[in-house]
Parts: sequence; C-alpha cells; structure tokens
Amino acid sequence: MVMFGYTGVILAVDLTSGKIDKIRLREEIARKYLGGVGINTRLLFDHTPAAVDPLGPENVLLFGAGPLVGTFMPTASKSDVAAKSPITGLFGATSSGYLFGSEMKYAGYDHILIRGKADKPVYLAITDQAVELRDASRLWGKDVWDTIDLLMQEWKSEDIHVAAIGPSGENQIRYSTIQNGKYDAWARTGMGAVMGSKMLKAVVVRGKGGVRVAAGDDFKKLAREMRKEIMDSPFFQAVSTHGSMAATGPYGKFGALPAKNFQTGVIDDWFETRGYKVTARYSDQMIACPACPVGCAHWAVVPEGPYAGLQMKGIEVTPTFEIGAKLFVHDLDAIIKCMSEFHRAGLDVVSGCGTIAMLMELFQRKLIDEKQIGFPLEWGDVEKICKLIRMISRREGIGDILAEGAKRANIALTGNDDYAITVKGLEIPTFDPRSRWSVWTFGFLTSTRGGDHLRTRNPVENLRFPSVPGENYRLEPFGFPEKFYQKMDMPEELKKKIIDPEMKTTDIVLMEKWSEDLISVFNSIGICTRPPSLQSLGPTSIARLLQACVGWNMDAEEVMQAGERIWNLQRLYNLREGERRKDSIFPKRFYKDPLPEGPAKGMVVDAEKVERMLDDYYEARGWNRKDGIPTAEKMAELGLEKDLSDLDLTDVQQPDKVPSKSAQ
Amino acid sequence: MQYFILADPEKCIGCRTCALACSFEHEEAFIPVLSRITPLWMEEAGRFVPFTCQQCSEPLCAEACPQRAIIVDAQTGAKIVDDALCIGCHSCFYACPFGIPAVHPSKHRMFKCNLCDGSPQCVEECPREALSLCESDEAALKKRREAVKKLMRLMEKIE
Repeated sequence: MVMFGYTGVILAVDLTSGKIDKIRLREEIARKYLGGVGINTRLLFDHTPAAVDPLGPENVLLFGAGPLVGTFMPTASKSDVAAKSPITGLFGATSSGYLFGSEMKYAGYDHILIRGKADKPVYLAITDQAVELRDASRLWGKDVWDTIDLLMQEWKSEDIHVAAIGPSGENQIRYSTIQNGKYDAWARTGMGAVMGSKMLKAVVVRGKGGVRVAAGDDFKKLAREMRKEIMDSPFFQAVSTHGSMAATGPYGKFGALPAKNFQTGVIDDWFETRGYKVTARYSDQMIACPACPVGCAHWAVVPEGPYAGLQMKGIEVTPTFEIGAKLFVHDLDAIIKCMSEFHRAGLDVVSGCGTIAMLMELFQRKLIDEKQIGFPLEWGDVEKICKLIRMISRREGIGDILAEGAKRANIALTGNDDYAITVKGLEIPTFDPRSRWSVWTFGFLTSTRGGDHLRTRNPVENLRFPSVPGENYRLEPFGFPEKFYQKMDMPEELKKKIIDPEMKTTDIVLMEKWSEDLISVFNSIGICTRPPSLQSLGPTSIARLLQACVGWNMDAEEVMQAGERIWNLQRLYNLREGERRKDSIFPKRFYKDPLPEGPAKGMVVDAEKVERMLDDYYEARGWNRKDGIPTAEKMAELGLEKDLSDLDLTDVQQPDKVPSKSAQ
Repeated sequence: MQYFILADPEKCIGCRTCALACSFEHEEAFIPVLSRITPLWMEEAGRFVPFTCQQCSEPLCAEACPQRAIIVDAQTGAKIVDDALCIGCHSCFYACPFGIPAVHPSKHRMFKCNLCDGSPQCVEECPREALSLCESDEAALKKRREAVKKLMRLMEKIE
C-alpha cells in the first residue's frame, strides 16, 4: 500500500552480522507515533531490553524523519536520533535540521535502525539503488571535517550527505555528537558515543527519490498559509536577522548568564563583546535549513586576528552562552574558534563546556592542582580550552576522566559532584534557573532527557520580561498584546486555565505539559521548534497539515494525544531504566548559593516550592502525584496499558562500564 | 515576450523552496534532483546562487539539437523541449555553457525550465523574493536601481 508523506520503510542494519533488512512501517504505528522522535521512542522501547548497556551492541541507534520532512512545508527539515543515552543511562534523543532528514527520505527511508557492533570500522552507504556497509579503516581517527572531505573524494561528489562521528565518538566520550554535515549536529545525550561503540564511523546518504503527498493543491495552499503565519510572527524579524543570537540580549540583561560555571549571572561587557550586534562583523549571509523561510543560521568568516579566515555556519546563542559565559571566553572570534574545535572533534558543546567549566572551577578553588591537569587553567583561556577539547576527544591525560561528563568526572576528581551542574547526569545549558524561573527552567527537571532546554518552551514566552520567582512559583510573566495569545492555537478552555490576561502570566505547570506534548509532535512530524514556528503552529493547523500530507482525518485532539503518548512512553522508558522522582533535582548550587550580583542578586531556587510544583505536574500529567508513575487510567487512554503492566519497577542495576583507556 | 528568471543571490537564504516547488509542479512529488532550478552554495563567496536556465537569445542547446526538438514558447519566450521529438541524446547538455539541460531518468527526455507557462512556481513560492520573472530590459533597470542604492550608501559613508 502506498503511504503519502511517509516512505513506509524502516531500514534495519545489523552491524554484527552485516545483515540489512527493509521493514514495513505499519500505518497504525505511524498514526499513533507520527514519525521522528515519536516512532524512534516506540522502536527504542521495543528493540532494547531493560538495563541494556548504552555502549554495548544490544543498544540500538535510530535515525528518523517525519512525514513532512522533504516537502516544502515551512521548517520541515528536522530529523531525530535516539538510543539509550550513555551519559544519563536514560532515554537519549537529539534533533537536527539541515539536509540529512530529507535526503534519507529521498533515498526511501523514514527510519534507520542500527544494532550490533562491527568487527572493524565501517560506514553505511545508502542510495536509492543499494545499501551497503563499507570499510572505514582509513577514516577512523580522522576528525569530522576531514572525514567528510575524504568521503566526498571517495564518492567523487559534493552532493552526498554525511552523518559522521569524530574522534570523540570513536573513543566513546559520553557526550559525543553525530555531526550532520560539517556545521550541524545531533548534539545532546551522547548519540555519537553509541555510534562509535558500534564501530560505525559515518552514514552517507544520496537520495534521488521523492516525497508524495495525499492532496497536492491543499498542501500547497497550507504551505503558503503557514509560511505567511511564520513570517508574520512577532519573532520573525529578530530571529531572521540575528538568528538565535537575538536572545543574547535579554539573558544578559536579566543577569541569567551561566558565567564561570553558574557562579554569577552577570558579565559586564557582555553586549559589546558577545551580543548579537557583534555578529555583523562576520557576514550578512543568512542560511536556512530546507524549506525554512527564517534562515536563523549565519555564515561566519573571521575577518582578521589570530583566527582570520576561519569559516563556519551558525553563530548561535547556545555556544555563545556556553563558551562565552560558562567558560568566560571574551570575544566572538575565539568562540567561533572553540566551536570549530567542538565540531571537528564531534563533541557536544553544552556538555563539553559544562565539564570543562567544572574543571576550571575546581582549579579556581584549588581543589585540584596544576599537576593533575598538566597546565594551569584560567577562565577564558582559549588555547587551553581547545587543547582540552582535543585531549577529551582522544582520552589523553585528564581528558580520559573528563570524557565521562561533568558529574562522573567531578566525583572521580574530588569525591563529590558539587561543581557538576547537571540534572539526571546531563549538563544544564545556558540559563540560570535562579534568575529566570520559567517553563524553560522548570523543564530542566521534567525533560525526559535530563538537563535540557529544547524539548519544552513556552510558546507565549516573552524574553523582554525577567521572570523572578515570586511567592507563587507556578507563574511566568509574559507581555504580549492580547491578540497574540488569543490567536494561540490551544483549546479555549485550557487557554483560560493556563493564561491569565489580567495578570499577564502563564501557569508554568500546565504550560509545561502542553509544550512538552506539542514539541513532541513537532519533533515527530519534522518541523522546527524555534519561536517563529512554535508560536505560529498548533494542533489545529498540524491536523490540517497531516490531512493534506498523509490523508488522515485527524483532529487537534488526536494530534495532541499523539504528543502526550510519545512523552508518556519516554517516561515509561525512563522508569524502566531506573529513573525515580528523586532524580528530578537541581544541583545544590541553585538551592543554596544566592546569585552574588545583578538584577537577580540574592536569588536561589526554593526547593520546597519546586517539589510542590512537581506534585502538581505529575497530577496534571495523570501520573501518581507522589512518585510520578503513570496511572492505569492515563495509560489506557493513550493505549499504553500493556507497556505499563510490563513495567518492572524494582530497582534495576545499571551497567556503568567505564570505556576509558585505563580500563581497556 | 522574452522572459527569464532573475536571481538575486543577496536575498537568497538557501532554503531550497524553489527547487521543491519546481519538482512539485513538474513531477507531482518533492524530488529536488529533478528540479529545474538548483540553489548552489558558493562557499568562497559565502552566497547561495539559485541557478536555472537563462533562456538565451541564441540558445546553443537548440542549435545543437539534431532533432530540432527545442523550440521557443511564443508567449513567454521560454526555450522548451518537444518530448515527441527529443531522443535524450545529451547534445544540448554538451552545448549549454551552464549545465542546464539534463535527461530525465524515467521519461528519458531532456528536461529544463519552461517558465511554467508564465507563472514559475519557484518565483511564486520563494519566501525571500530572491527570484523574479523578468524581461531583460526591465531586469537591467532593476539591477541598475539596486546598484545605485549601493552606490549612494557608499557616497554617504564618504561624505
């Protein structure tokens, strides 16, 4: 049967036996889990036993792109990668735009499921005609950029698309990325280490097929409508002109920067040295992912100075916060230099900076000495940071300890994890929850992938307003004009509960659930979660999109229920792997060290109030209020009753084998 | 009329909507390799160039065609291929200095931009107005105007 939107095929590769199969994607699964992260979640849950070693051959690595990917529906370029995460030991997932997702579909696959382990380095070559495993011995050890150049030479083509790991992934650094081309990445939760543990260096795709949709005229009409919605969004101009760097302003102003490993939220010369206005120095060329009218990435060429001539795509806000604030690197030229090192090594910038910042703070506090590191390590020392990135990715010297991530490395070095700013073992990105309490920061605790800011976001968030937690922790202020939230695509009854137009506030708990479910849908059908689309698209428009694209007669409720189902299955997965309520906790610093300066001076996170919010969140989700275990009623509603009844909640023993050189 | 598609690389953000819209119009599916327009990334210049048929006044493709299969559309001036005559021999491909004509992998006939009978889908769907359907004289005026704007900005700086 022909499916529209989907290719209808999952490519299954067993690296141990070399066997390659094509599995039919059942329409029932597609409708329930949509695609991308949704179907990845189902496949990961079904294809791995509990307590599987994330770096062992039994873990599966999944690539997935939803039904809209490959079409011209605005922003529909996203693909998702999933596996059990080697850094959290829980659900691992990460999303990326650019070309890989659409190319995979043009080659004929919605998903790729990779299991087993090859006995020598290999790469997976996928074209319309053939899928094969090829020798990658000569690529092993090469950094990502060299790997891609060598593959393009081998294929005599600039039109192949490459997902590759660098030395980090090969050496199973727990926070390795898979790079999507040279400048984009599936960055978080260590998916590159899983790929490296399988001895899989790269996936090369060249697709010459296409994506068909059910109702062409409607689809074209809707695409135009959505494009207009996105381009009319109040965020469009700012994000389009400055990219994500537009957000450097507000967080600097609130004093919510993660400066020096979250020791302070204020950097005096932030705007002049690392603000969005500085980006004009590099180029005026915006770069879009396929089908996106926004073009939030920018081409950067360093014009002069020690890094003159260095080229890169995307001066982004997250690396600017991470390298510029967490590690205190003073100027954007040097931030671009560090970013290029992260890309080449195939290392996640957030976890990487979280780990290096932990080390820098240990050195600052004289908890470790120069001899242990091999050199003195001051904040903002670009040369030493680049050196550490290389040492980590090759497990050299102290790099072998840092390769395990901030939490494990902190414990190994000082016997406690006081300076590891993580939730569930994953390094927290970018903003300080003490100074801006919001859907975003509460989401660090509820995210199924640990300390992470990309699987939730308040669609009516307004970064012009600081969000200082008041007596009532549940409220986040917003300041949009009335017509804006009235237009928001959310059932009216729920909107009344979530948004208080008089007080201009959002209920964080209820919005958390809504946005987690909605973003699960986005990451499944393949559209971008950045503000211009997050604000413009909701379940009603998505239902219409899916009708025109796939031909399903779906309503808004079914769309949101799919998102809820996906999130709940991730929760069941994490419970199965041993996550418990006690794991939803911030590092001690946020509860006990008041911010020392700036607009949020004196602020801490109130542990008791956060615990009450977790109670409320669990209840809002239809989970047991005390321990966050989904109720039988909720699971029956979502069709997950069997997954719940199969769940063994006796504490599992997680394998935590150290893949370090000393252990090998 | 003598129309062609004018591309402005300074406005292009490389979103490939043009190529997707083109293949959707001509192939009823999103198949970028069968698109008649290709946005190319020129890394040295740091720019995207959406590249398609220039609808030459003296089309070398037509001259090279042994079948005389490439004819001029009276309404738009587009150089179009008569599928009944085309034998898929690649002569046009060799003759074209821009690499525009290609042979369709399943229809086995040359395919290239035909200006969509006067309403090119790439132009209509481009979100950045980087493409326009122009007559040559108008295009020249447009380009001169843009150039003068740049010049004036430069003059302001000098003053």
